[in-house]
Amino acid sequence: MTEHRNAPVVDNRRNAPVVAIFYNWLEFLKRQHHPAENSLPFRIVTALCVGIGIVATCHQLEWPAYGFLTMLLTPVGFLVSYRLRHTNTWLVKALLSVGMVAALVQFFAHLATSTYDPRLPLAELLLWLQTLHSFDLPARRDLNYSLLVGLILVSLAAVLSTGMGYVFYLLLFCPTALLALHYSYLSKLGEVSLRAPEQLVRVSQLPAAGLRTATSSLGLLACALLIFLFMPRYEGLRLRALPVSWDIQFGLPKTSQGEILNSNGERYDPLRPQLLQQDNYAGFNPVVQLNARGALSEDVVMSVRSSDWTYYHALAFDRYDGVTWSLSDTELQTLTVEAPPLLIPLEGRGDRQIVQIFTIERQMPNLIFGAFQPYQLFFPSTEIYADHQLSLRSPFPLEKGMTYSLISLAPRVAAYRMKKISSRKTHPAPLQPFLQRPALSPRLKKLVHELTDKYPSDYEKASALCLYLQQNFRYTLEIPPFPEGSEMVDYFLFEQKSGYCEQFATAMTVMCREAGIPARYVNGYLPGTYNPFTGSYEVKSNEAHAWTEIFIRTVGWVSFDASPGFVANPDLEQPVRSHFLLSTLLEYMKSKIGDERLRAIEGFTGQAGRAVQRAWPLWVTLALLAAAAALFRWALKSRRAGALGRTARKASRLMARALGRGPKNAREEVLQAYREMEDVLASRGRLREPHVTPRHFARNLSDARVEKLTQGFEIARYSDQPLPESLARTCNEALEALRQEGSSPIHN
Amino acid sequence: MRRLLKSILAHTDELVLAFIAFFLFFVATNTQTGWLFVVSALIGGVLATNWLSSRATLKGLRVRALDTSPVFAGQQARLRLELENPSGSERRFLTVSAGQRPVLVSSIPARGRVQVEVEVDCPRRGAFPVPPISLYSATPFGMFGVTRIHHPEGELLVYPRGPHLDHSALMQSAPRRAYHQRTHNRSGSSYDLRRIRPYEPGEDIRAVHWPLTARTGQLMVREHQETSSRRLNLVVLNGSASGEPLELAIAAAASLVELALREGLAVRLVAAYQGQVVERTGNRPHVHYELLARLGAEPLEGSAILRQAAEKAEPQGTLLVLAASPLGQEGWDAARRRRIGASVLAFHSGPHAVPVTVKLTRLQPDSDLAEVLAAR
Repeated sequence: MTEHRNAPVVDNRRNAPVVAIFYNWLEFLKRQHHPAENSLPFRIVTALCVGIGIVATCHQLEWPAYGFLTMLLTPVGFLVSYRLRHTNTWLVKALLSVGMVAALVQFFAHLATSTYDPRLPLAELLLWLQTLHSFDLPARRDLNYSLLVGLILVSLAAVLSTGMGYVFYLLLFCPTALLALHYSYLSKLGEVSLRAPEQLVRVSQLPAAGLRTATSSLGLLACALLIFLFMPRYEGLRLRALPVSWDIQFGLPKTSQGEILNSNGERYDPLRPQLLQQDNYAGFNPVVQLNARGALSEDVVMSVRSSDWTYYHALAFDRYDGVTWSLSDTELQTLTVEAPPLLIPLEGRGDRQIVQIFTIERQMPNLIFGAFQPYQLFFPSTEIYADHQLSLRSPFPLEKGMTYSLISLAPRVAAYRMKKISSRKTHPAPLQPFLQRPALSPRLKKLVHELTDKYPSDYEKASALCLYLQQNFRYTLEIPPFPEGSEMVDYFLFEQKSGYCEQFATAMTVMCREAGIPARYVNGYLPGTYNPFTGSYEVKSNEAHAWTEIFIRTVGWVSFDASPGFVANPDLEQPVRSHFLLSTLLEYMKSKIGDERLRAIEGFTGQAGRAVQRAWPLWVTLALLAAAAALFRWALKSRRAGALGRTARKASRLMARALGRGPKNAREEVLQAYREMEDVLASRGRLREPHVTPRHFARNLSDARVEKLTQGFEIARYSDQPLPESLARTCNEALEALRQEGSSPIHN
Repeated sequence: MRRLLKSILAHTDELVLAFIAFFLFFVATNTQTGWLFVVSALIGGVLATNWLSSRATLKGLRVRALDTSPVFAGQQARLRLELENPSGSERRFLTVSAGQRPVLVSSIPARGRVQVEVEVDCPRRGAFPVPPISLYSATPFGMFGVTRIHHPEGELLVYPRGPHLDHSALMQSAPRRAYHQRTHNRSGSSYDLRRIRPYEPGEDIRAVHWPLTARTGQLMVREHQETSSRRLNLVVLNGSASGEPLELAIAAAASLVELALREGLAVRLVAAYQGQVVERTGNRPHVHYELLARLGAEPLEGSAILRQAAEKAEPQGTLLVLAASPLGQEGWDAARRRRIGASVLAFHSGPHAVPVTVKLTRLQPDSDLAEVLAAR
């Protein structure tokens, strides 16, 4: 009867594969894997790290409802984990596993509905996983995983962030995470040395630990800064998670059927004189009055994450009447789409993709900015409007916080190829509007033909005109209005001889047309200043700009910027952006601190640089010495150094003796030789354990050289008599032989 | 390959962080997310700082062995070490070990010293240099742990330990006459009292002088005049011996020394050491244990050791020979000339050897050396 009671119960149900997996899983959960972590400060600091990660992510996600839930549940989870750290919480683990599977299912469901931006479902999944995981953190390893998840959440927030506000979270997270890492290390030390972690990590020691971490952080920041400055930066937006504020379409009223609304949401009034207001560029209107004067503010209007440095188009104009630019054809095309992306019909060549993500920083006109020519648009509206110049317009003004993405296709051309495309006498009908010009003065015509007639190609002609304008005229915003009745280009070229981008772009366009080149006046924004921290180009209000595009056969529209100090061919001559961040950062600082101060800094650094240059023999000598020292050290340590190694070791011994640090007599020399032998053998995996006597050690190795060294060691260690020099020599020879012999039994 | 794998497994945390840093850099490059470059650089900074800091923590530290109290084989020695930090910066959180469980040192102040005790396993007897001391640090974040080996000066003596012997074994192994004389003297003859001195651990309780003990409050014992002549003459023939025979002989010698001293006998130990025949006498066990700990193979014939032992022995005395190497004719002759009796316990193999498993009860005390060998 007793035997029957003690016999193992065979559960046949477990034979079924699914049930067996279930039972194995339960068994796995029931096993206590690692010792419980008792350090409360470590837990608190880890919880803080995770909390910062969650808040940072929720902030970038614009505080979703589930975010608040995760923020509430995570501290509760940490508390529960601490309370139950010694308990086998297999049931909690099982429930959490189910919860995690549910979160995964929800993630895939969300992913299926929002394919245009998988970052949002991913963020949600990570937040839920971390919240659930916080209920099961009994051991140090679990807390370390939490720390890692905190880091991932902070990184995710970095991906989602577009501004400098993110730095606040980073500044909070870094010291907290470092403190947590430090505590993790102390906990590990306590474990290996049988010291209770509470002895090492106490709440009362938190300030001291914080101070130590802060000290370490300074060194860390220096290292991180060095890495950051010399981190290679390559341009490219290869990962296509193109964000769009899709939800915004449901909240904004459609106030335009394609007509242009300025940043105040007002329509163009031809009776009102145009003024360059601080944050409202007058050029973003159906008609550009060239007599408008004023200055724009330095406020950032949008930040653009772009794969290429490029000008952002807003409008292109074809009709010029001497004072204003306007559109000859105001008919608009309506483009509709159910969900992004919106495909825009392509005209001409386009073999270079430019990916741009725009984040609007303040309200702007309902113009969709982007590199020409737009191809795929991820915009928060089901319909947009396009004119014949492929300028895009939104049904509502661009709101602050709105995000849209655009993939543009630009022709990949080289100047030498365009030079081979000769000018045409006549142009097809669609290009005729771009040759229209008012009656020009004879001196203007003469000037144009003098400058361009000698060149066979349109590209060369346009280049000559652009060069002429850039080199002979002054760029200034402070010019008086043009006199009534004068033709602007003539007055600008021959009387005023200074102006700003609108005058230069108009002059360039009109002169190109006079030279028989189809050209149009384009306005929009300059590429902006690259912010190395956010990775975005920050475009300011006063970077609204105007330039010219000429049509080159088989290529398409090519940009020319005739304003002095600007890049003449923005499509061809992209400024070389350094592959290292240092110069990019300097450029950014330049934009922040102003030219005068920068010149002072450059003056100082220039002097310092020249001083450094003059002292080049010193640097070369130092570099050679450093190389020699590195070679010497390698020869000293490496057993592949051969004769060089032998010489180095001899030299080292002589130097040590000369400095009074080496062995002073034969006895010490032999003892040192034995220790070196131990090091050599240890490096080959033959460590002499503490309980093994030198004699036993030598016997186990059966090596004549080791035997010789051991005999010498025993004599040197235990004999009272003075030792002969020959013994030291013998020992050193044996050691040298041992170093050189790679295929000895010891080595094997 | 195996070393590489081992190294990878030892640095999992660092590899995970490095992977995350590279991944973030990759994502940053492909999404133009500038903050990811910053996060990636910060992770790189953490790794670089830890790499430098852990090495800096151990740089320039000096280790000295302060106290190396001898222990018996099979015990753990507690080695007291002094760690000196000659630099101007405090060193924090490192461990010290001599192959066993590491000891944590929380801090070594700038230009300061701390003392720690580490454990060393001592399974075999011997006179060892202080074992290599390894210092380990992964300060401050537990990554890129680095180990530095130090070789402090000093010697660690591990005494041999043989099987425990009881009184009857000594009765059969020690010279019977000497034992009887000793017991006679213990009975109270006053003329042979040499002095009264403090009690030493291991001495016979019967020698305690109770009246003086009561007066002084300290345990005092009588030391008799003839104790020196009533002694156990142990000869270890270590000659060219090595390996198991030598270790067995030394273990047996240690047991006999321990027992003899416990029984109140003086011990005279003779063995070859550093090319010479040396002897240790007295009733202090450490003197004998130290010699036994240091014994090894020597370039001396067993006969030479035996001859010298016999020459120095008192006439009519008896030697207990623990032979780890052959005795040799010369030694026998010397013993015979001086009419020295001998008991032989041979541990070596070859001619004139008894099996190493021979028991002490099979010894023949007071028998002539030649008779013993003739009987073989």
